[in-house]
Amino acid sequence: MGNFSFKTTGLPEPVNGVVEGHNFTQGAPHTAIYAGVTGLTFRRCNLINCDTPVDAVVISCNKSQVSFCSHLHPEWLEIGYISECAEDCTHRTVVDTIIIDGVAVDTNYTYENKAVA
Amino acid sequence: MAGPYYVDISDPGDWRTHTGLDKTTNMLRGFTGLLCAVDLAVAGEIVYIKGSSSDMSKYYNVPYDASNGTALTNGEVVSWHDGTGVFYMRTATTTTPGWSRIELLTGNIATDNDVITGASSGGTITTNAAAGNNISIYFGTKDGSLSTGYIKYIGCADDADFTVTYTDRVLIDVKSVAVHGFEFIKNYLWFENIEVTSAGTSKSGFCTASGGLAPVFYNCSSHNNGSHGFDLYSSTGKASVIRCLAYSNTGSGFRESNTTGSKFVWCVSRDNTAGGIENLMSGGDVIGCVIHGNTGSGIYSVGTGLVFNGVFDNNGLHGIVITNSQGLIIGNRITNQSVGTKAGISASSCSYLTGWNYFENNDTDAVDSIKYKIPDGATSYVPGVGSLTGTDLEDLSNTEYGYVDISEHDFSTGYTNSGDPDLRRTAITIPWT
Repeated sequence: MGNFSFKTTGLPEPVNGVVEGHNFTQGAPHTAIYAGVTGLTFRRCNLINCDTPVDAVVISCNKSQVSFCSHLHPEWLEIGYISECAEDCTHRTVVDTIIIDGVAVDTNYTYENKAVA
Repeated sequence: MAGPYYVDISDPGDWRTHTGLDKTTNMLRGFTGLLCAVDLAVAGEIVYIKGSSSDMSKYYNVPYDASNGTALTNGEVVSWHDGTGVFYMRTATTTTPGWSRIELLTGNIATDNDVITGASSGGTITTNAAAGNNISIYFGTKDGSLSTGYIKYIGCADDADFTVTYTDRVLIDVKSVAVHGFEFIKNYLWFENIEVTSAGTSKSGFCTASGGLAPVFYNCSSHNNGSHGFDLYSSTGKASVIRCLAYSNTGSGFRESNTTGSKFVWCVSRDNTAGGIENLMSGGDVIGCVIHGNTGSGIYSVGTGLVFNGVFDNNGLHGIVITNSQGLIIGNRITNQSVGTKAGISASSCSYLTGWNYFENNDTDAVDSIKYKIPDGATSYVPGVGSLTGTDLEDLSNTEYGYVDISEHDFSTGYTNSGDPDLRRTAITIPWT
């Protein structure tokens, strides 16, 4: 059981073909892990943004595909785990302009990570 | 309780009226007498109903046997479901000929419907919903508010939307759907023996959207979720998190409240894609916890609380990050932060008190060194050394603290096999990890 977030190499060896209880969160959607390895079973893993081998059996895993917003995860951006978003990125959901005496003095933005197919 | 009540439907009279309760015999008569009995009875009381050989069809709309959907023959009173979900009744056999017994289930409820309107008094709720049906459970008093006491979730024994893996635990598998596993807004809730997994995009295992004052989490697990394991950020604070496990979440294991006073005792937070415990604000304590393998820091933002007897190992950033002064960090084992490239304790222009901590392989490549940081202008106390101000220590011998080989700390058992027996660290591990 380990944390292999943002890694595609140095992944744990399967035990009797089973990979169990690890965190394989990736920065970009549809990142391949264990590419070319066949006959695997993933059990109780975090597979967010992962593409497992086509023949892999996936049991009780989180298989969400997510577009992460760098505005929400500056620590990941700083290390280089995710790419930098533009200020007006597609993750932006709310633009709140503060107006005082008819003058826009500040703007607040709200961002959300987005599920992707 | 004033019951039990007796309703003789065989004596209906004018079905639009009833004679009221005979207080000598607790007897009611007719169809409307039955409704009167329901109104009088409180949770747990029994209403006895006497069947009739007369044609009763004119007194209720669809007399049918709820067990198989067939029409009743005259005089039978079996399970009666009126379709509006106001109340549910079932018959049970009695030893009194001619009388069927109906138990009002507003205390203890068993239902095969998909919606349970929660009990106004304590009791056990069991469900037999068909696979794939959603279950919504609404807890509250009759006026819709929960003011005192607490509601305790304990693992249930029947398969429903809550899938039972073990007989003493509830498993909530969100199956990657973008919802939180368990979202709550009420105060004083108690969660026990509940495992939540696979909440989808940016969703947490346990989460409070607002309110949620003083929840208790005991022996719960939250893992492989799209955001935090336990997200109390919007809570009004004072959570008690005891013997809980958070792992492999794409977020922090535990995210503390934006207010004060949560306590984390004997918890494990490991292998999360952010920190072990995030946003630990003033008054928050972390006692006897094992925090390792997280991509971020072990604990971020210690305030004025206590971090005691914990194990912090191999987190991707620092072991403990302090952002407010007066943190008290005592008796912890802090090792291998970012494989020796980050600090055991990191602070920004604030002071904190430490004592009897063991450090190894932090912020240095030398395995045998002890390293931690005291920022300029801050003061800390190092046992065996004394008070230090703004000084980075290097190459202190670890023999003072009795440890020899950090590799013998077995995280699967939580036990350190090496070093001074009096200084060995143990950690509570949850057997179903």
